[in-house]
Amino acid sequence: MKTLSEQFASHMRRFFELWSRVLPMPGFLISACMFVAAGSGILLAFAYDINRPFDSLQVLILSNPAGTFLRGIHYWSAQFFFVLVVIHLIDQLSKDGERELSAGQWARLSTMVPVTLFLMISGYLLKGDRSAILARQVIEGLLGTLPMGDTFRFLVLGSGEGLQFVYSHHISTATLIVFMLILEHSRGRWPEWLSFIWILGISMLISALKMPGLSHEGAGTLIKGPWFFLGLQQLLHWISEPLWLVVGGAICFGMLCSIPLIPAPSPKYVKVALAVCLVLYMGLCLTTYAFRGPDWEWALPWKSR
Amino acid sequence: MGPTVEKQVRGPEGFKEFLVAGIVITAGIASLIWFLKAPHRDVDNLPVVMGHREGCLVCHLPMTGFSKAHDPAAIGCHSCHLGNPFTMEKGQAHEGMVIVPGNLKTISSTCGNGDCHPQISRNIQNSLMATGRGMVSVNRYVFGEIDSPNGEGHLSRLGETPAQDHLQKLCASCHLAKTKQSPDPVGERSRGGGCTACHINYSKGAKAALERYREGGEIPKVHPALMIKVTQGHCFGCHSRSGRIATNYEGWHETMLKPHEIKGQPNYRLLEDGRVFERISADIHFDRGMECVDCHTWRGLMGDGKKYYHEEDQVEISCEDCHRLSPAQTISRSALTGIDLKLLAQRQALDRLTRFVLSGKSSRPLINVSLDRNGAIVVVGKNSGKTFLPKKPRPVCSSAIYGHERLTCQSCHTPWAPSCIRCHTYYDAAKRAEDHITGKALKGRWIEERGHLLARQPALGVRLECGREVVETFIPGMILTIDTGRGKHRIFRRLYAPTAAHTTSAKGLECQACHLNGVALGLGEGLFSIKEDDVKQVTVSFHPLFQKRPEDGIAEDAWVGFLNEKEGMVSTRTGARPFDAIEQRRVLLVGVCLTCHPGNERNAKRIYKNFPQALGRLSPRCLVPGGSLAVNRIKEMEQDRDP
Repeated sequence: MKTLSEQFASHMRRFFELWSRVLPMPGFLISACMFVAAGSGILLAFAYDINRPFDSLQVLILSNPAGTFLRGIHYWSAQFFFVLVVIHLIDQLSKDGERELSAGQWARLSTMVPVTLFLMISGYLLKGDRSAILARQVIEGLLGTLPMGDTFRFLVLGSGEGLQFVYSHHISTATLIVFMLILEHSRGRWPEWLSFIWILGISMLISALKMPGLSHEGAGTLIKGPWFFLGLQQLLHWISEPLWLVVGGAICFGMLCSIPLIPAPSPKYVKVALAVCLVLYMGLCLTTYAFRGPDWEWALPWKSR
Repeated sequence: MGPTVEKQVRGPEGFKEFLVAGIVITAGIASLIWFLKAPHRDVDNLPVVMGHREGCLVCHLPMTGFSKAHDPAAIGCHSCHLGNPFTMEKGQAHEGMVIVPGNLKTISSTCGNGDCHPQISRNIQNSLMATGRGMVSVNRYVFGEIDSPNGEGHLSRLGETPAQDHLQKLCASCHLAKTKQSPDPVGERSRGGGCTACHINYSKGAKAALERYREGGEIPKVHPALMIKVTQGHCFGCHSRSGRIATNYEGWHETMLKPHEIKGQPNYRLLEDGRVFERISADIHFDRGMECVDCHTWRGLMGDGKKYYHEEDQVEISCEDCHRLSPAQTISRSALTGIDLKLLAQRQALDRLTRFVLSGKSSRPLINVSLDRNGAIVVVGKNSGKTFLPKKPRPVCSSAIYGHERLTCQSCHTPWAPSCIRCHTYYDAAKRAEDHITGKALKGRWIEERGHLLARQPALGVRLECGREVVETFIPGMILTIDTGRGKHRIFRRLYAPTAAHTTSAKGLECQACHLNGVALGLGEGLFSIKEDDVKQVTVSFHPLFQKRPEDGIAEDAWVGFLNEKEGMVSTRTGARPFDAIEQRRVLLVGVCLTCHPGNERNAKRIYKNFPQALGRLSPRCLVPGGSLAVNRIKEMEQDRDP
């Protein structure tokens, strides 16, 4: 009789077998995503002005269709990157992939999750629009709950309201770390050509259909953060002490890093616990996305804008 | 990763990696060239409004017709119409756009967004004009679905009970929360549209532009003005129904006549919906040139955020605010805050006012009511800028007449009000009716068979106001039978509703108009007969004009029987009731005296100001009230009532 976690692992293996018949494996796609996102990001940097971030993006998308399209590719490839990192992690954990790596390698690769999250969030902040300003306030608040919070805040966000630190981390610090981790993990290989074409093609296709938006001061009483941020936004709405969320996130990350060090059969339980946390968090993101209306009131999606 | 998979997706290394590098470099160079060479629009012509660029204006300017506060040069298009201001592609720009921004459904993103009118938009969602909470609960009360006329309800979210179905198929279009589907000038038949129901004003140019757009798709270049100018025409459409205060105010009374019957006849008015009105007499305030908003305040109309059940609770003004017996409490301009201050800034006609009278009911400022140098009240028309000097109440109002302590101004200054009697409402399941909220056809229809529409003096009754009993004007809210079509149960109701008829006369009614008038006493139309016996004792009897209804044995148009009492469901308001037997006797006792001693100022001072004392000094020629009106009998009844 298989346990629940064994059944889950079995389903996952089956899922990734099916995946491999259609798509390149997530690891290759991640590498391709990073190159597409970085390439499009370099081009966008020509038009992005750190001194007037919101305005420079507005001018870009209102005056330059090519720039708008590039921004779409940058945005969508980054979204795929983040999703694929999570999927790759699930894939590896379901087939005990951590055993094939040293504890140090696993810990370094686990760092990819928070660094990727930072890349995504910093990209969001660089829009400089209303939702970005509000998101920055939330992150400032969260960092402020930590011991030496002011120092952390300065190191991550810089001082004042400027985006210089965020921009530097986005285009260099975090990007370099991710590149190094990818190169180490892929043993220095370039992205697999089919993966590259898949990611570039899909990013271009979706960019042509749906452009990432901007929000401004008069954008109403409903400001939602990026989709992966919504669960956090909802938890912050419920929880009066944000430190618990930081602690919760740190515990999850600690559990992930330490899986290879935990003697059997405990890793199985840690994985189940992480899977439950992920499912709950994603459920919360989805619920918040669909059912939070103006003034952060619960609302049916077909009855609210 | 298994070897099979790796083999499947990874080919020979060297060439493929070279290919990838080639694709990357080529794509990068191509993108850069495209990016840098792409046809740039002139950045200097990308307008900036409210801190952001707005692509909408590139296509839609020039556009004229706006009020200053809503000039697109200041607030753009997106602030009201939403859509996507950050694209030049038409389809994407118009995605999520709202055509009628005032609709309450989207108000938190449009008029009510954080930069514009958030407080008012929150208030209005809870206000009676948006919810019709009182209408819903009274209707449910009448249908016997709830035990009190004070209940929850929203005309846009009606349930499936017969009472709510009745509203949905007959009445529910008259509320602000009804979504207006397309832009239109506000007229007699306009309904809903939230803020735009009252605040949109079409110029001739804007009307013509809308017509051209509808006929040939030409993008309008003249926009209707969105402003605080709310005219009588804005209120007229909805308020010409039910209590009909808008038509009353202008002196029109609805008749049962058909349009062809009044052709060429003066003193009749045909409304756009085909109803025919006849001229009676207009409200004195209308005659003097006052508009609805000259009396009514923004809080009274759009709500103050609190939940009220009925209109008289939400309205914060009273006659005494302007027609004062005592000095007014005022507030200086510098002490005003929030919306009051913003509205004053918009209303240039009120620039000259420095102090503002506080409403007696709410203690909040009336921003167009002030004092002159002598301390007399001055009212300035909000739209017209005209100055009005309200008269002080006459001595007969100010010096208390015995028994008149509870009277409201309206009791004596309402010469007429529309009174509908004998209505039968039944449900026909085989027919179809329009949903007044969505406009869709629904199964089943409610059919109203109306009886008489009378323009007559309202009845007087008693209502609770802040825990105190006041004598107020009432009209037949509903004297009707209801056949819900569900079972054989037929409902009969005789409920009177308090009314502010908006037919105010400058001159108060004569004393006899109430003291010897069956309608005023709630007995319905009829004649009193005063009979004198051999010892000069008189008895009074009442002969109703209309037949008695079999259900309760009271004349068809009456509220209560002669010298009788009525309890239970008598009114559409909690605590409201007709005069009881003692009150009727007291009123009629004065009525008997009035037959010989008319209610002039001399008699008012000599007899009626202290009526009990006058009764103690009857002359030999005086008729002595006997029988049911005997003074001793009334005193006994009063003692029986007050333990």
